[in-house]
Amino acid sequence: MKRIEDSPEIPVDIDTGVLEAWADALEQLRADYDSAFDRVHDAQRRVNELSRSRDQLQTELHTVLSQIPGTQAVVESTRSQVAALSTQLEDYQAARDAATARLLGTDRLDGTVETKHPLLLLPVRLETRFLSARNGSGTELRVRVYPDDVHIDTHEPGLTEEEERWGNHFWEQAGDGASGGDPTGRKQQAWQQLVDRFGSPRAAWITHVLDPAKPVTTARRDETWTRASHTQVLPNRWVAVGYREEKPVVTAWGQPIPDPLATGPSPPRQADPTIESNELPAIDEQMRWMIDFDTAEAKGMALRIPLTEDQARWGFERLVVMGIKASLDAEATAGRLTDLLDAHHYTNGLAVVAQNVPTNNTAEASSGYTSSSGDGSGSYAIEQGDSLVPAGSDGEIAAQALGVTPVAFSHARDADGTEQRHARAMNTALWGISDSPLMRQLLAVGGPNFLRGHFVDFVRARGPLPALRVDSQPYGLLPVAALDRWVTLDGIHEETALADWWRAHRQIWRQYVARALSLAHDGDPLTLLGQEANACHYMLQELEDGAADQNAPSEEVSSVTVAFLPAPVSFRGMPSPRFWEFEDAKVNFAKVEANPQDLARLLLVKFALEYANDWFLVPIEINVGSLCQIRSLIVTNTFGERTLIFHTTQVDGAKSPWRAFALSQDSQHLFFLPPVLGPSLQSAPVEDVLFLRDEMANVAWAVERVVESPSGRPLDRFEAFQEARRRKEREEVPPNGSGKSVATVAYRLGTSVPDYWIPLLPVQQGTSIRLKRGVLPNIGIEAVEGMLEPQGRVLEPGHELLLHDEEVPREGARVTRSYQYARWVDGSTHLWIGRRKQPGRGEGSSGLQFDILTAFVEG
Amino acid sequence: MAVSQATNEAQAADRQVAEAIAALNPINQAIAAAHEQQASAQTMLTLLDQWNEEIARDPHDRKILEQVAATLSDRATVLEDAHAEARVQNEIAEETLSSLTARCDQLTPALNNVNAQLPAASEELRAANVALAGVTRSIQTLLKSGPRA
Repeated sequence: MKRIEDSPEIPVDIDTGVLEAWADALEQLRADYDSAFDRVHDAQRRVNELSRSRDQLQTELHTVLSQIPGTQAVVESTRSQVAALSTQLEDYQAARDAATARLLGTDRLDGTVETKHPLLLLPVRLETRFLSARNGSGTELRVRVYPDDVHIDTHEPGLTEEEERWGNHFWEQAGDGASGGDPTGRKQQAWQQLVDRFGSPRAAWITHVLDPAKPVTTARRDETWTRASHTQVLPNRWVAVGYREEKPVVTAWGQPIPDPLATGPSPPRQADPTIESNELPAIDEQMRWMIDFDTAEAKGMALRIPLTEDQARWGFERLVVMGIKASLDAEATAGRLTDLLDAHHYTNGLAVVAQNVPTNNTAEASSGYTSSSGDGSGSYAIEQGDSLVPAGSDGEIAAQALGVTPVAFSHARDADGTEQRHARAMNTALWGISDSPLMRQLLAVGGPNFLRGHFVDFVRARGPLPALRVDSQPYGLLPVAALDRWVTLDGIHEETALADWWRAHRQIWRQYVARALSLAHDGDPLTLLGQEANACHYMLQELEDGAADQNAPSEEVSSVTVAFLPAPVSFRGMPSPRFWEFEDAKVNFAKVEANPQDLARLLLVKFALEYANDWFLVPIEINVGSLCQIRSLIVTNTFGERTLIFHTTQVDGAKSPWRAFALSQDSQHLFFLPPVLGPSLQSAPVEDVLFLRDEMANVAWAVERVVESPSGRPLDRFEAFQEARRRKEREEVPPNGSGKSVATVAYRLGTSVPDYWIPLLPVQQGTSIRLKRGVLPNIGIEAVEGMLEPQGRVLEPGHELLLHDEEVPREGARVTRSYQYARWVDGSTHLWIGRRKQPGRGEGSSGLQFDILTAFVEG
Repeated sequence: MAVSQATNEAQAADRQVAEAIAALNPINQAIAAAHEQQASAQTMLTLLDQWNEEIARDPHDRKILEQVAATLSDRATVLEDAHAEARVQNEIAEETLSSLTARCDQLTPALNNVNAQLPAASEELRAANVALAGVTRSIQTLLKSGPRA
């Protein structure tokens, strides 16, 4: 395009109107040009965009299409692999299960367990040892299996003559024909009488048996003990499975287990008296399995598992021992379980445990369990009241889960709880306001309606079933299922989808298991306890290096002269050796208050809480007055291992501060059993001194309440003082009408205390405080009349008496001297004066004051 | 000349034989592997039969049955692991295939849509270019003619 000025065709003299019209036309064309240009630009851009999209889509489609055949091939391949493995796996699993069933005696030849029945697995205690194989080559794992408390039946169904008499008395009082008082009061009183004599559980059994409305037939029992404790709920056999890296690497099966199996000694008449040996204590044959490994193995209660070299070297991460009673059908099994629950109910007690019940005694609170007491008021309502298991109660839910009738819990303490029902209501309320990433994932899998129903019916924060207590041992009921084999019986799609989801995620969570803190990997208990929200105490006992070696068996010691079964020392309030077992709230050592100077009390608490389970009681008969030396003490454990126990001086050194029952200056470890008397006659105290603290006066006092008179008879110093005071007051009465003025106030240098109150003044001696016997002036009418000295022998007049400060504790102390009269084994009689120290009556006040004004009241 | 040609033909024949043998090798290997697999499966089946026979024996030999059960337990554990792994692989592959198919189903209509729009856009471009050329020509004509009375 040329410039207008450059165009030779433009005339020079042109009309302005024409020129303007030309310019307008040109301007219009310019606008049209711009518009057309924009249109072209837009169209080109659109075409470019579409072309680019087409290219991209074509490329991506090409890629996707090229990947599909390969992926289809992988799908086909893995699908066929899964199918092939599934078939193979089913064959092997079926064969394995069949083999296990035959070995456990649960195959069709010995009995069957229908898969529709849930299995109840009761806990057992395992003891294990890696030992050289009996044939001398290789190593074997020895496993001992002991039934837990819940298995053991110690019930005596028969009634003694006395039980029958008192039981009949109870029902007579409970009947309408009895006279006196209201029927409920009479029944309650009769119940208390029964409880006083037999305890609550036995009283419940007696009334149950003799109930005229529904009497139970039982044999008369003439002895207190007619049968050994036993169990009838053990499986047919045990199978032990050892795991490494979550895989079973060794499996072993035990011998058939007798039914019933004795778990304690038989009564003397039934016990086999021929079993005597220097190697093993004399016990009856039925319970020999408890101490002898070979017998236990023969009875199926011990397993000997040969190990490969690798298994012996690396051991196992987990050992599971289990078994089922397949020889009984479901009905018979439920019957046995009911009998067992009844036996617990009528011997040591059966209860449902509510939430938040403490199992241990602490300074803040006592445990939620108190051993049977003589107070029958608490048990009366439970045992003689209405059934405690209405529909929906915790007891009814527990009975349903165990497959027994609710009657088994109808008189179990707290069986009428409603925690499960409340938990369901809480879940119903919480569902609408709950949200979490996990819940959203689950909702996508199961759908809201199904998931809500599942959450409300089955999910429980405290566990889906109530916990039980048998005697002092709590047992939780934990329902479990093999998720790998989960199938829905009702054809609910959501249930299958949910099970699949859990199965898939379990694979992921298993990866995190190895990272979980565990005592096996983490040495620091504080780190471990930090994971638990409410753990705040722990006790760690460290073994010195080489301690285990010192206890290694010694071949030099080959025999013992006496064999016995040691019994662990136990006492009321003793901490339970099992972590979750209920401690007895009757005695709570954690609540004992002690001052720093209460050494005896502190030592007692220390012993009771920390060292109580270090002691065993062994019965050895030795002659009175004899000097004994224990040359060797060998412990044979339940695996047949023998361990020589060394004397404490050999372990801790000759200068060990620890001594008990040892003789002074003795290097031969002798034990002296001194002659001791049985009961002796004791007179009234001839001297009675009460020691008490007087914190107001900052002294302690020794109050000579009774002293021995010169004639040898008790002299009551209190009465003597009162008599002397009255006599003195009579002598001090001023004559009437003397006309002298009487002062209304009087100044006194100090008050007097009774003459039999002897001060004990605190004095510093070295780093400790001693109480030194002091003396007070005897203030007469006109002047001091000598000093007040003690008159008895306890306070040792004439000598300086220095007592340790701790000897007069806050509660005081009482020391008495009494005549003792006893007869010795040879018939001779002996008379002597003995001393006895007992707790006092607390603090006291003498009222001693100095520099005081005393007001007189005229008339 | 004839010798040279014959030599070449012989070499070509050798090459063909070599190629044929090379092509046959994988087939032979596959056949051998299949035979091996079949033999292994047969052995397993035989063993399984023997074990089942031992399990069903009445009365059973406890020692042998314990060994059989232990072996079965070991192999079942290995198979369970392999089965779980194969199942996971299969689930992953199924999921991948599913997503690929879904993507393919998305891409195809999208491409068709683009292809359907493209002719119209090209036509619009062509028309716009024609219009632009017309306007250009008009301007040139107007400029060329200049203002006239």
